[in-house]
Amino acid sequence: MSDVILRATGLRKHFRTGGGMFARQSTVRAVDGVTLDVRRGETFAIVGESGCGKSTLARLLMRLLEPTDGRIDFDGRDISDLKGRDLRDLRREMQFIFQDPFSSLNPRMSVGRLVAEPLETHHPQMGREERREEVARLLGIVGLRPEHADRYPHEFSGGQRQRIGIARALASRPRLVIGDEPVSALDVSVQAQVVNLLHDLKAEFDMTLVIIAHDLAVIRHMSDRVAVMYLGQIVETGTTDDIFAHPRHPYTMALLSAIPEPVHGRARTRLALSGETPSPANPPSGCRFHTRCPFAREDCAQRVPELRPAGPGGQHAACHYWEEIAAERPDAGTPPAHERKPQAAARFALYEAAIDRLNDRPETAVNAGANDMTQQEEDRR
Amino acid sequence: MAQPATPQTIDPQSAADPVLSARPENRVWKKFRSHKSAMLGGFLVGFFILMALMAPILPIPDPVATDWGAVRKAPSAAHPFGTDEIGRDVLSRLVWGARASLMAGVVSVGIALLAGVPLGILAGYFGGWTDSVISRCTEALLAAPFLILAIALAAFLGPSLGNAMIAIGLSATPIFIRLTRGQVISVKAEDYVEGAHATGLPTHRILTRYIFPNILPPVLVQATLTIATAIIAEASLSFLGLGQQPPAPSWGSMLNTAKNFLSQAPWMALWPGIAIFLVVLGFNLLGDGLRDALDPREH
Repeated sequence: MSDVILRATGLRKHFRTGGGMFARQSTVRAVDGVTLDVRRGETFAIVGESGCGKSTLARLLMRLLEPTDGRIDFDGRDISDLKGRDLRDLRREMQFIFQDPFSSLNPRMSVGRLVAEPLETHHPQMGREERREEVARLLGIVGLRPEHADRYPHEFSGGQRQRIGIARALASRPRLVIGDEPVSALDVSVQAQVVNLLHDLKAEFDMTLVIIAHDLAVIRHMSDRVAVMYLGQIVETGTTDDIFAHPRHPYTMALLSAIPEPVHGRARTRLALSGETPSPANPPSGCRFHTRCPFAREDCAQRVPELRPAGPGGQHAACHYWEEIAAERPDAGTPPAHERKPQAAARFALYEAAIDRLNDRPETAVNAGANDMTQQEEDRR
Repeated sequence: MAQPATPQTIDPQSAADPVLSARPENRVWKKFRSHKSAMLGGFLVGFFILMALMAPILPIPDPVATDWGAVRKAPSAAHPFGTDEIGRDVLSRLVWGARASLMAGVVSVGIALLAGVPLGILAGYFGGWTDSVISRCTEALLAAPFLILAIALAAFLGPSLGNAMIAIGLSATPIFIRLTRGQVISVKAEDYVEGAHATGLPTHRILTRYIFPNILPPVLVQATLTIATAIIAEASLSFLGLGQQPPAPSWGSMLNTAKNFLSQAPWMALWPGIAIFLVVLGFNLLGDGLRDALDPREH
């Protein structure tokens, strides 16, 4: 299939921990048999709670970690065993955006050097002057100014640093960018800016995006397809619309029901999960979710569910009983994003116009407005 | 959560705080300036360096010229610091001796840095058996007390100032291996180093641009403090006759001869003792000040 740009097959990563003189060694199955296809040009989201192995998966796909087992194909080529020069060349095609913009930039390099570095590495034929212009262009694309090139990362805000990280990732003109929770460390207002930036850049640069997230709201806004992870495995996958409209796996339902809805007076039954996430060092037998699943049947603890078709649009879920559960809970999905009332739409238009006027003002001014909004949303919960 | 309606524009201009817009180096310097004891240390060190550099042009007698008419004379107008057992001017020997002491401190620490930092980076970055071999050897060397090791090495190499420097440098190397290794291991785990891998940088670039600059501050602090230790070690070796050879002056060898005349000519021991004390104090204060100024937690 030529429309698949990245394919993982039976990917596993097990970490050994402990194993001192007196401690028993245990194996953490961070990623345990993940198979997925990412199609050319789409935005593919991987969601799950902390500790489900999604960051490990992202690093496996990037070949930043060695898989314990399984295979990764990029553009029809097996990249699982690439080493040295070949692996470095692969980095030109595949880039990574880190979660924490405060720790992911070398504090001792100026922004200009940070962004120029991938160019030096992957396009060594480029002259000094040409490179300088390219850096200025990249900074412009991500919404920074060319004179920022002489500054150091600590002089920028979180959102700006993430833009620097994005400029650096874009420099080598990758075809695939993997973002490990690229906005979760940022303020809400800045999150939206960065999400929109990524969205625009994807179209402009003709890239494929893989976004790791724990925030479903971010996902819904920007992704085409979603994979939901639980304890190192994918439990459900499908188009974003399908997953949000009719989740099939109880875990996905629980995640969706945890999204606060900014709709006044709308009552919705929440599907609350009890208990802690089990340790990936000692995952439950059978279906890994059975210990917390409100719909668990007796044999869920014995039989391991496989991903199987769960809808017409290519939706798959790893649950033995999704048909029965779906019949029981027809309202599990979330409605499509609601229309704004005319008054509200007018007010948003005013707000946007005001923001446009603020373009040259410091970011804090924009933040202050957005924080008010967040506060209002919280009040409504 | 509704996405706040945000424009497609950017974080406007610079969120940079004008106070913070200085380069990291400038902020370090500023902080260092406000550190009183560090400035005192810098002053002391600067004073001795200046003194050593200006030795040939200062109006002082030849440090090796003997004067049998002025043996073990107490401080006077002609000899402000007195004379020694064969009539040499103590002030002059002190000034010229600063050259040996400072050279010994700087050169031996230079040797320790050149040997220790690369080995520490190798051990910390590559780990595995490279680390095991280097670390075990380091621990073996650290098991012997610093000065004893230096004396043994100097005795083995033969008595001369050059050999003393090599001996002191090699004895100080394990400290730098261990410090560097630990720093590399912690810097290696930083996101930006993983980012360098993700960018596809070759290993030598990661080492020179990412690891090295970020481990440098604590290594510099340690180097400054070790210069003080090395100066004492050189004085000790010279005192034992393993360092600077007579008649060339060195503070350690001046003390060595002075010990025979402590009751008759205490000034012979006093001045070199004070000089050693002050220069060591200077380097220690300087090192402490650097440590505070470079501490990233207080930025």
